[in-house]
Amino acid sequence: MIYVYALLERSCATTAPPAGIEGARVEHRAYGDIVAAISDCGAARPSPTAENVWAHERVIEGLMEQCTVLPVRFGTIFTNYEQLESMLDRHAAELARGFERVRGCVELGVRVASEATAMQGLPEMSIGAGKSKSGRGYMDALAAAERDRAQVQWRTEQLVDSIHRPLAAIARESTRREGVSAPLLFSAAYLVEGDKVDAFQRCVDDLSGKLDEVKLLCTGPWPPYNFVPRLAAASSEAIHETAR
Amino acid sequence: MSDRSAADEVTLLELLDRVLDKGVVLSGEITLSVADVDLVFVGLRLLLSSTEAAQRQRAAGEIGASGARAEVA
Repeated sequence: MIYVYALLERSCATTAPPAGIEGARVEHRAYGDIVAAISDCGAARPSPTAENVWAHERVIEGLMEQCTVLPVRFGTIFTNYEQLESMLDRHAAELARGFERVRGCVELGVRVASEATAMQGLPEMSIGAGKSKSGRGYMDALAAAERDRAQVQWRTEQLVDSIHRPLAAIARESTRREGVSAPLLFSAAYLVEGDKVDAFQRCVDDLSGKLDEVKLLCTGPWPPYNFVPRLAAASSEAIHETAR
Repeated sequence: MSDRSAADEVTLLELLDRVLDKGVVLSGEITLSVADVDLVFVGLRLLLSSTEAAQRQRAAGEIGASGARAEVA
């Protein structure tokens, strides 16, 4: 079976990337204007082990140093070359736009975690509600708790906005993850042009120095995983994500 | 947990978020199952206390075109 790591443009000349999953030799196979970085994974489906995940990432990083890449999700395999060619041919236009979108950029990740201060106030409200002996007292405590919760949420949103806004201004694009939970307050990915990475890092440093109540962690540069095209047909075709 | 191991964990989680959940979805076969993903998350978090995970973490300040990871702040 054919394992796919990343897609490149045909115009990009690259040297051999690092060895792939389980030491497999990674080769380039051109289909029209697109080149797929692939390896033969035999009959076995690669498992998402630490080694394999890092091997996948290393191949893409090796390519990213040399040209614009569209990273492919871990575990993508094709049973034959014709199947892969058909897929790339069908999505050639979307992929071409995808290369333009991320050209010259890397992805940086930012996570913001609470150092507890931003969440202060929450424990007391539950204690207060639990101690109330009368029905009215209980309801008053619940209402107070709700007001506290809203205030904490408002403070958190203000804080997150004060972090995200200046970073987004440096980036070409950004995307925030929804539904994070405490102590994580915020997680986002930024598509940053190569010559703005230093400015982005300085901005993170500045924000970190000003904000004692949270801890900022910035990682990268990553391949632009969060800024690849979402292929229209992918959701309705033969993707097999099976729950065991 | 030390700052270093916390940074290792964040880096690893950031990696997993991307490699397993982002990137181009071609209509080949995605071999991951939901159960596998859960397992690998658990397994890798345990690995964080090992030297192997620490070695994976690139040195701070190496942010740039090298593809290295850097922790900031």
